[in-house]
Amino acid sequence: MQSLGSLIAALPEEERELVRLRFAARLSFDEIAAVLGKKTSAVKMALYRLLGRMEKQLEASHV
Amino acid sequence: MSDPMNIHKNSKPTLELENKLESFYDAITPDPAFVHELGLQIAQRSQQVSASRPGFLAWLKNSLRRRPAFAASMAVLAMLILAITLAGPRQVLASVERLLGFVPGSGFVQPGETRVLADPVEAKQGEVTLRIEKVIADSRQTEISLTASGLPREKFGPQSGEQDPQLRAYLLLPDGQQYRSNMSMSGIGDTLQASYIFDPLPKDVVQFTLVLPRLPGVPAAFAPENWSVPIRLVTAQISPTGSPSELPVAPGYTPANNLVSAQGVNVEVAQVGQAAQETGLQIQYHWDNPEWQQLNDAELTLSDQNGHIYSQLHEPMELSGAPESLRTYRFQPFELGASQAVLTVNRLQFTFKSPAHFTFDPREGIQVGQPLDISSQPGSKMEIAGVPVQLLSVTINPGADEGSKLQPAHYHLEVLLQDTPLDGLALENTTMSLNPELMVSSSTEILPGNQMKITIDLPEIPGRPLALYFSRGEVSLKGSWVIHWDLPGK
Repeated sequence: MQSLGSLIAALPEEERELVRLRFAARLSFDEIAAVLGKKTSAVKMALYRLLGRMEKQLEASHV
Repeated sequence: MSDPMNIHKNSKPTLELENKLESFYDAITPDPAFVHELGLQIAQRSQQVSASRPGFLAWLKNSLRRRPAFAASMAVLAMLILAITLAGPRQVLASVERLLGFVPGSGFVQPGETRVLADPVEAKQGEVTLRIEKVIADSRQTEISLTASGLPREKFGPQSGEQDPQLRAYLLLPDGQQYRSNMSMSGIGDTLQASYIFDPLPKDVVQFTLVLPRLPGVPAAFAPENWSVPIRLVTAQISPTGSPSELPVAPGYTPANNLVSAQGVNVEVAQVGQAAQETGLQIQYHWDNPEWQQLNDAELTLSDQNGHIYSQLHEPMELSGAPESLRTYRFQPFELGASQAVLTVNRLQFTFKSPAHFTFDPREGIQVGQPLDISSQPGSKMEIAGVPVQLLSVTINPGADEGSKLQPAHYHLEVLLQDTPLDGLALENTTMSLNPELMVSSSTEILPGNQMKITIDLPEIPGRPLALYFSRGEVSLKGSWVIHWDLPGK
């Protein structure tokens, strides 16, 4: 079974940073957008897609 | 935990994963390299934030408070950031803090900073009335919109070309400084309408004189000239002190579930401003397809829980520096019984720039006046800005006219194509050219059954293969992006 840690470790650097800013530093979407110099909506969409993908990967590893 | 994603109620990733991620990070010591890098990033971004806006430091402190393990590592950095911020350029980073105010007729402004015209100002010479409708002075620019009525309209048409620099509008400040307009736009309908953009005024300037040596687009001696209109501005304030130099404005707010994502497009209600006279919505659009260049148009409806539809108010002519994807819409004010707002976007139209092309060899079996079926040729099936397109036929016809003066047309090349709307996305029109970088004129005829006939001129029948580029045009996207939110205080 794939652990959350190994799943995070396997992410590309940009996505790993997104996860860390959101869930480790607990920044809001606006704050992440400010740090990365991106639009809030772009950050939301990127995170939304990333979480959806991670969820599928976790489910697949449970099968 | 931090606020869940709330991106779309039908496709929200589970809270379980978000909880797991937070627990995962709570259980480990922060990586010093990450803390350091994050600090540097924040410091870098903070240089772009105005020192006069305490919001940036406030959110930084809050961020540290939420994650105590980070706080110790970042305490020194916070001091560094403070120093950089104070010394940094005084720019506004709107995405960090969005405490905007709404001024009916003017839109969203930065309270405490933006100066506006409280009421329109009029000046009259002879039969002509000049009315200054709007002035917005902020740290980016100074924008002025005006109208002129009573002009002898029948005596002249729209004027084109560069205006004499001596006739350009300017602002005369009390200390004698002059600010010439950087950009202007004017049009003559029932009245003359014009908008001007000037450089930002010094922060403390609230009065000046607008000087118009001549009304824009009006020939010499057709109307009174040398207009000089004193302007006094007031500062927009959400909580005014009662001073006559302040204008109370409605505070803007961001609805809780403000974003909906479908068909590769995010629609986000970035700000709502509810004033007694009207409601303002600032909507941010974000799309995935990189071939879609600009949002041309959006069809949207604002209603309430009772199904009452609020009319959209006339959009004043603007020369806003806002990006194309951030739009401000003005609607009738909500009714007293309204407690929930419903924004529905039904259709979006984008301009596109596409690399789509088809190589056609005129030496292979084409006869003048006879359509050549190309539907089975390689490359005749293509995608233009996300829309599946099938090229059906090519015809070379003798030129019926002399074409342009620059390049006489002896032949017309016609291409018949058919698009297949996919998930609401359809091709509205496209150019066709022999060079993707040139704006070569082509004519497009829309035919029934999603077919299109595109024609370009040719001086001769080419003796070599031709690449036909479908590089620019418009696509429309039909869908249903719906955002609900509770109205405050209801």
